[in-house]
Amino acid sequence: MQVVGFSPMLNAIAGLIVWAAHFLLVYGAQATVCWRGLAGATLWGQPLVPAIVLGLTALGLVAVALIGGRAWRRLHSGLASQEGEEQSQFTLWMSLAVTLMAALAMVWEAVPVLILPPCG
Amino acid sequence: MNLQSAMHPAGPDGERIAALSWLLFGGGGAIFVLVMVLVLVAVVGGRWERRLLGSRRAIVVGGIAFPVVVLTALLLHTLGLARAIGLPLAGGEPPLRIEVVGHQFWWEMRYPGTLPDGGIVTANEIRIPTGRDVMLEVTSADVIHSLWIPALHGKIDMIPGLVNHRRIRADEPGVLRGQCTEFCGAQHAMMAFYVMAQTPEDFAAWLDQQRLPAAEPDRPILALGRQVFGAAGCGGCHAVRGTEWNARIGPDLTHVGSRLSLGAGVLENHRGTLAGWIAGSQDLKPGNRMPSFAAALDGQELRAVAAWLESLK
Amino acid sequence: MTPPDTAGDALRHDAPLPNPLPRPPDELPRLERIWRSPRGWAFPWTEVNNNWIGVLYLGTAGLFCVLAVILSLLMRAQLAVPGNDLLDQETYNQVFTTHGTMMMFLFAVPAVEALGVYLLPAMLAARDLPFPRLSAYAYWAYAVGGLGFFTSLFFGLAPNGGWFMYPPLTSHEYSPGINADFWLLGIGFIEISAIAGAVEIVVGILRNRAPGMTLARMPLFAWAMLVFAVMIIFAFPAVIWATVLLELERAFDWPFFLPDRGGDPLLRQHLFWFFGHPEVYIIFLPAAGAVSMIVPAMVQTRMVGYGLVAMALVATGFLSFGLWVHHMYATGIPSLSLAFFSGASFAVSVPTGIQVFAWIATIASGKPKLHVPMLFVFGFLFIFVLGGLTGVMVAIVPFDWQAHDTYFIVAHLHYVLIGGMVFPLLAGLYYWAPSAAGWRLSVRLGKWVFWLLFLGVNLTFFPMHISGLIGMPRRVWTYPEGMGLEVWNMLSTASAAVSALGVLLLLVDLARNFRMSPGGPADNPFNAATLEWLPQGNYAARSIPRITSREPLWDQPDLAEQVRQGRHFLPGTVTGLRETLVTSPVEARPQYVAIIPGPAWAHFIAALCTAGFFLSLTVKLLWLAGIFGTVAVSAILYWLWTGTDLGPVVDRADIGGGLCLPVYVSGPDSVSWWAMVVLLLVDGTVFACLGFTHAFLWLSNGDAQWPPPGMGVPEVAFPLGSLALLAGCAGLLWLAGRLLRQGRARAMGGVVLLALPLFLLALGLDLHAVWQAGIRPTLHAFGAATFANQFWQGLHGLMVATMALYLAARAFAGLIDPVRRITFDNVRIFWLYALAQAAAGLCLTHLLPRALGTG
Repeated sequence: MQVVGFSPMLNAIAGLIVWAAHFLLVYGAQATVCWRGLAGATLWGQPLVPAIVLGLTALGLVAVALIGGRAWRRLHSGLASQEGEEQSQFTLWMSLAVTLMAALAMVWEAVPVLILPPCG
Repeated sequence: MNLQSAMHPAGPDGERIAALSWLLFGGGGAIFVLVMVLVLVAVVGGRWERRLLGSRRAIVVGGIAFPVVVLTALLLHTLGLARAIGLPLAGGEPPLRIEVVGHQFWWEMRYPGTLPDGGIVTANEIRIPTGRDVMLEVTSADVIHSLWIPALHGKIDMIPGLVNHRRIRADEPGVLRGQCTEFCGAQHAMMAFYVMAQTPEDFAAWLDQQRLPAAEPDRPILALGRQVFGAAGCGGCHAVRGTEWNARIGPDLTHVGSRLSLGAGVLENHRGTLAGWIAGSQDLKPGNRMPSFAAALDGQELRAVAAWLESLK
Repeated sequence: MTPPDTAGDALRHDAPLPNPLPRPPDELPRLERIWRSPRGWAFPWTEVNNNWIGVLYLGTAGLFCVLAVILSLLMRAQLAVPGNDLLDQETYNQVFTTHGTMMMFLFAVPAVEALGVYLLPAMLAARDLPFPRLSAYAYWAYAVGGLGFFTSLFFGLAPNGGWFMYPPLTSHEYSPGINADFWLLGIGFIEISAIAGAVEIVVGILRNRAPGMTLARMPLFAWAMLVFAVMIIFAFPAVIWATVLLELERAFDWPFFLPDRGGDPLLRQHLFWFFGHPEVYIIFLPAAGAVSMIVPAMVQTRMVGYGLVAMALVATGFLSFGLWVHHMYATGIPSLSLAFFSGASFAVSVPTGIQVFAWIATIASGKPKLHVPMLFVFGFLFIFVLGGLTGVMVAIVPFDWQAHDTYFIVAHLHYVLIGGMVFPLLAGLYYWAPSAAGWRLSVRLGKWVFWLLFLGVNLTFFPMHISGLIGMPRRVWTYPEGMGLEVWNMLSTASAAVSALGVLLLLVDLARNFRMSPGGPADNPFNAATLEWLPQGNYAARSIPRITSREPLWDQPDLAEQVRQGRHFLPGTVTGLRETLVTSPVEARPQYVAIIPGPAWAHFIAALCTAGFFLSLTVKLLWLAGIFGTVAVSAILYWLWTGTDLGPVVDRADIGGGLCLPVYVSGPDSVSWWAMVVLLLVDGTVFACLGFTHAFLWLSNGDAQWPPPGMGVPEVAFPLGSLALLAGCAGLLWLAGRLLRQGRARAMGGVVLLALPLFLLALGLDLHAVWQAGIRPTLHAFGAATFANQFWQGLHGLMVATMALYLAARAFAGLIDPVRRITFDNVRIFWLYALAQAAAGLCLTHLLPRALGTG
């Protein structure tokens, strides 16, 4: 089935899918905590909101690192199939570039939690 | 001096934001010029410059590395600023609370705790003492409005069912102007107000004056005015503390004579404009909620009611 | 259906050309006859060909743009001096609302969609996009509905609540007239038309590319349109849902947004801006894609950083969904939440920077000629970079508190939209006009148009930055003297007149120099590299070229001649019907020859009646709406019955190069399967918005009011009963599939007719459960949200019922068999989705309150 051929496209955008999940979870969790009046709550002794945001960001960064690392290895392993070489190089490169973009966005979105009050 | 300008700040938060604005204009302007120069070089530059610019490396440096560095610095700077804006200013005193309620198309200001059974209620102006934090607690009685006093701070939306907060502070005595900035219907354009910053002593004196109920008429024309007010049905919408009228649909008129404007910043406030407003509010501010009384009142009655209202200092 | 293994060989750059000379003498005349446009009174109503629909679409969008420009001139005239009374406040409010609404919904999105419909087939060397009647239907519904919408202005009935339509101002209490309904119903269905176009574009780009045009070789405009269309699929459902909620509130008093009954006005803002911010990029990306086509042609060199630009387009498509609260900085949301959106706003500016530098790099590495399109590209860079920089400024929360809802924003957004969309569109007009009209627009007039617009736009909008910061709010019909605003406003008004002159000259140029010439020019006036400059007919390229690089016309110098001679793939028609080649999504290997429909009346009547249906609803003529609705649905069913799922008309089609392809496939290889899946993504996004509505209102109300006193959560037996019915229905659908595989199509039809009542019963049971538990839609937002779910499920009940009856009818008519089964496949996917959605809906009503411990 040629639909299998769709998976390089999903690989190419996987980093941004991780970003989207990260963004929705971070915003959703923080909004929920604040609406429920849990600004002062803690998780394992840490303030709740920073703990959630930083935890999710760490998870997200690990995920994009895995995706990007896999693309990097395959890009430099010379295993890209002979006939579709140009095409698979391209999607692997895109996968890698996209993870860098996603990582940057996640870091920029997480930095505020170190500076601003959780719900103020 | 412009009374309603973000670039003419009159308080610490306004000044911080204005300074940020100038930083942004300077930096943005420099980047704009730089990019345009690069476009020019790309077209008419020498071989060497164009080869340098015409590479993938130029894209990575100019389109990725440069923005990432600049924007990271800017992000950290503005987050620090946002944090500072949220913190209480020095001074020690707890902030003065003022409740502001948006109405189509005017403002109701309440000073909770200033009277034994609540607080004084005024309209279309905020009086504040200088040098003290003032916490505006804003909401709306009908649609969404937004309160903006650019010289002191940015906007805060007034949303029905929700109370939002905006801390302001003025450094020097003076008058500033504010306006509604969320489209709220027919007369959104004519929904303004004044902010009067006074020395703490003047402010206290004003507050004492406002605490008093409306003065009893001491001249026949004023007595007639009070009578016309009742007969024409004005009390069906307006309150005048110390009288039998206490409706809350329109502005509280207890001390209307002392206010800086009429019709939410539309007119100056004196006997003539009062009469004009009562007679023709639909001509002066079409679509507002107050009917014109030109047909209901004759000239004598109009003059009387305007005189009485003017006397309510 | 696995494509033949020979495909790889036939696509190699050193393989012989797929078809030999000489070609059979009747091949070309036959192709021309089949693709001929309808003549006489049938034109253009029955036309479906993308060349014509694309140009009509663009022209109509241009008409709406000119109308909206006239409205803006009225506003500028009113604001020329303080205290002006040229327009009264009511007229002004209608005019600015209509201006914004038309520019966004009737001009910007349709214009770029039209550009895609017009250009993509030629650029991808497809004969047409896979669903031409859908494009034509979307176009006519849009054109008729848009004109109806604009007419409301002449009766003083135009919407007056701003293009964002925030409640409670737009709720029944504060806007009792039908003005708001004109927005909700009139624009609401035009959003549906945009989605129809997006489905077409996604499937077209992924499945209709020339053989060998892998994703890595796809023109950047196609990348941009792909991202554009996918963004529409995820963004527009939010505004459709927001529209549905507001109309339900207005029509039936369901208090979603009314705080005195548990509603929350901010719900509308979240939903609206979840659409509204991506919308800006939805408009900008195709324009950026066009620039990435024009620049290389103008400077005669390959795009530098192709991969970076493609990545930037994709990244923008994602990141722009993380910006919606950007428009809600002043609503009192905690500053940390705002900062997330600030961070995302910064992130989205990086891909834009990449594109700007890629264009500069490309210009630097080539030899720029100052053709008119290039002038507009320079104008675009100037205006758009300035608008982008103010965009970074308003992403910063404290600055935005000052700039928000002032003329600074008016300046910013016009810089971004005029710079980022109108100038590229004009560049595109001057660049691509020869491909439609056979010759170039006037160079002399073009330069005048450019300079008038460039100066006019800058001098109109730059002063607004200043007037905004010194205290002028947006959406004011007048302003007082003495605030220092006079000079800036006068300057803006005077310069607006200069821009208007530019628009006028452009119209003169078009009237004098633009004539559609089907059959097309063989000319490539700018020596561009991409396939839309191949010799074109209504059928696009005579034969479908085999592509070996990103710049085929530069790298395969004889390509144009070979294509015209018919030496590439599918040089004629195999079935005697309109056909196009379907290729695989990533590698673009030929998979099958799809038969596509030709001219017909059904889609036109359906579009007319769809527009009529919504406009009659707006003016509350329910009986007329009933008639229009019935005719529209009947026309669509007739169109489907006669024009789709034709089955294998011939066994195999020889397209040359040793490739013998099927002309009919079903399942995941077929384009119609893809279209259905894309449609379900739209549907699923709407349902996600419904879930968000529940979660948001719960948070806003707190546990004690969710459900509020007096409303309970139904007994658990009810949802279990509904679930059992849904499961039974799914089982019957499985059985139907099995019967069809065994060739027992009529029995399959019978089983489908059995499955339908189970589904409807499950929905009915839940409605009963909710009602008997005391839940009422008008009393509290909890009830309103619950019934919004019922409404959405009911709508799917109706759709499934229509589809099931249609399927059964096809089965009994002998039009379905184990091979010819697309109708069955599509109905089944939709139905299974509806079952899953119904189960998820049960969770919202019954599980959510229980899980929260509030039920």
